[in-house]
Amino acid sequence: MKHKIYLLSLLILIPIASMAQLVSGTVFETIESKKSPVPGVNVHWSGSQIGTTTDAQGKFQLFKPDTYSQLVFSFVGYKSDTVSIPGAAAGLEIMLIPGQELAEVRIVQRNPGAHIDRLAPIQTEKITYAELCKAACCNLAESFTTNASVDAYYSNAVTGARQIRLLGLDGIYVQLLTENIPTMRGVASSYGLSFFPGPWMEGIMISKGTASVKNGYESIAGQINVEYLKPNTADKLLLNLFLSNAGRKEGNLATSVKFNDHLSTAVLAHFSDDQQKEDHNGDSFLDEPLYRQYNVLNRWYFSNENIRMHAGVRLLKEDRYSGQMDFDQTQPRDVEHPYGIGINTKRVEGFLKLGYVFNNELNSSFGSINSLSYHDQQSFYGIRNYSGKQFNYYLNLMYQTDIVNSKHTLVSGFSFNLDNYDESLDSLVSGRDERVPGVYSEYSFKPSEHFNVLAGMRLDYHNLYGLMFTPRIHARFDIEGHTHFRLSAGKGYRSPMVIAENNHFLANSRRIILEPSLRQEEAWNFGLNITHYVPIGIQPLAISGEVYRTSFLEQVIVDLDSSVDEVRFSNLDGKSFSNNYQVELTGQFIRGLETKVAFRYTDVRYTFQGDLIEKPLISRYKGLFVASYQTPLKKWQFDLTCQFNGPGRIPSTAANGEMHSMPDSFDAYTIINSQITKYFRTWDLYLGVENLTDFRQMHGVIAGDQPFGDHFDSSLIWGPLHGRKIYVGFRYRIEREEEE
Amino acid sequence: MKKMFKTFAALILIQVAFAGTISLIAQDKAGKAEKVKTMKCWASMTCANCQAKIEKNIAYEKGVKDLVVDLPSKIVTITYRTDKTSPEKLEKAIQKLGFKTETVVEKK
Repeated sequence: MKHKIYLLSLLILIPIASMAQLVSGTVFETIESKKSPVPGVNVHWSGSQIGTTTDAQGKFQLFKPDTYSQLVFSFVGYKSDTVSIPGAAAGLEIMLIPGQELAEVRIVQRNPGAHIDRLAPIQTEKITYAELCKAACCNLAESFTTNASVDAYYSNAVTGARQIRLLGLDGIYVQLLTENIPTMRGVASSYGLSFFPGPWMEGIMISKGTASVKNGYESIAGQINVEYLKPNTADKLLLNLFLSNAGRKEGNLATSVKFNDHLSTAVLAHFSDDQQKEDHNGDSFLDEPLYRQYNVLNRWYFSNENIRMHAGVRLLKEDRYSGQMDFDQTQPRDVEHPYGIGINTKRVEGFLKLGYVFNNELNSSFGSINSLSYHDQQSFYGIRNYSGKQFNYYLNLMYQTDIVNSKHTLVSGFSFNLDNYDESLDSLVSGRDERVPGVYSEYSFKPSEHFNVLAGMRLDYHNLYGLMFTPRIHARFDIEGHTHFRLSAGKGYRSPMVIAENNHFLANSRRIILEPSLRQEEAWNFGLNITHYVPIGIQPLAISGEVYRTSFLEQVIVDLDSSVDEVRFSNLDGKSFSNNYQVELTGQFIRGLETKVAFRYTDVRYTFQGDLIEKPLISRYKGLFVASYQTPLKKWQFDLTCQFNGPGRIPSTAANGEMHSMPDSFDAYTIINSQITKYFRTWDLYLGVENLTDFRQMHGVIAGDQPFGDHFDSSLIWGPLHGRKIYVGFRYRIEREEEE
Repeated sequence: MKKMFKTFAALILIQVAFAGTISLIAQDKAGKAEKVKTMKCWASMTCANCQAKIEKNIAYEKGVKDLVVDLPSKIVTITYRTDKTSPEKLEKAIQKLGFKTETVVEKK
């Protein structure tokens, strides 16, 4: 048996070892400032007879013996020179310069492979397209099921609004970006996550802790950046259809056209619809809202030697209705008729990103981001009316350059953010203008492959809150490439938009009490992550452990504990913090089978009436097991995700009397999702189930039979509201022809 | 605390069970003897997209039993049934996708 194992590991190792010895690339020369391949160049290992010559396309490949590392290129009319090749290398581009005196061989580019993430100083987790395909992932809120750091939850029982939590902190403390442009802030934050269609996404980057100062002062718990399909790289056509037994129908279309080497465009379109009324938990309220969404983005990309330009326009319209089963939009809205909720959203966005690359030794570049958006939400919650309009303009100008050499890089810039809010809640009308100019600078120091530091600071002036200073630092070092340490520390700020961001509290009988002058939120975040790679299995086993602490200096506390009849928003008086401890193991021991096991313990507390109390409705811990098996030819894929959510606290509802109260805590629960995907050459078919065990939070609504009475409350939600869901989906694509 | 421990134990258990099942399936497959051979060829891939393109298309070529596309070395390793296809046909199939190829003869 033992011998068998040895033999097996040998069999696995041999091909890897022999492949690692291959060196390949192309030899070019410059003719009239254009790269032209050079055939017939002699390539040999210095001091040996082992060598080859480049083919008609200037390409070469040869195996690298352990004893030699100097590769010599020689050709008549060019001076021969030597390049040091320490290990396996592919995609080398060798530039031969003619003439005897100038002769020089330069490595223009080396394919970095998969190392980039390992070397980034900011702890970043990437959810790739392949990862998104492991679950239904219809929109951003649903894209984190296989991620241990992010939790998605319902903010209340009736509106279907989904929110995310990172490091135990609510989504408002996570800066949301689309391609580095801040988005879905303020009025858009309550329902914003459903406005990112999953099939449009190319990938999602999650960074924990305060992020780079380039994107502003807002990220406190972290940053989530969504990258959409790009006109120049997307497939010619992608069509996705989705259907679930809960009545959700979705269609997504992405199409791109490349006019020439410089100009390309893409249209991304999304339509979703759910008109199926369901009430499985018998609380007389719809389990999920009825809605219809239209979402279209047209984007353009232009590039030439020096200029890169991205521009786009997006239009969005969503109508969402919910409430009691008998509610009908045509009925008058009063206490005599069933309780209804309506949320009508319109949004327009436009962006222009420009990059100018100076062809100089210092890799200098200039970039600008312009973004405009207008968001309009007209809504009613029973007999309450809320209207929110927000106009936003964002400008970011940045200049990046190396100093002396590529070990030192400096990015400096200016940003300006304008928000114009126009809100009304019943007869209360409020407007607000926020103008924030700011300057920033970020210095990156990379003395070696094993160590780098990113230190940034910014200074912003807020017209309402005054001057803000934001220092942030990230450092990374590794020991021989297999143990990586990352440290981060930094500050973040946020201006609270209480009603807009807590829209879900309108769907209950709690009175909303605002402290007269709510201050700007301010917090420090510190993090440490250690990742160790063990070379066992098909891919190195990654073991990571991390600790993050967010400590608020100023915070708006959402208080559901003072009274069952009120939700109070008040300034923090005392301490408020969130501590997170997480361990994660990711490996592939059997070819095609990737597994992830993670465990996270979250401790979120704030001062309430002099005592530190636990933040309600949050699971104290989360365990995650993800397994994904792909057959060797990648024709079938099986995915399984198990989430183990810990218990937590529920604000006391005892004062409501026995009839209308909930327990003061909730128990641990498990959610299992699974999906099977069959891949064909041009199309995929997937069938999946969400919440396999059909676990639901029963009694999500208090006093649902008297929605206009004193006790109605739909905001005490800690678990899933919808039970088992079965879905099927279809993807069809026409790939882009490779132009060489 | 006890519950936490239980959860953790459950996590490990599930993983072991899952891995066990998969390895059984894998073993079963390996048991079947067919006239299969392995070929290696070098393809002019430059990025992950190229890799995906080859994986996506060559997997559906007739007679292909297994496929490993290694981007860093640009080496495509194909296990195929000798009665259904040949190295020449497979290399042609890669060329048809727009890549240049070269047969790799391993020195040793």
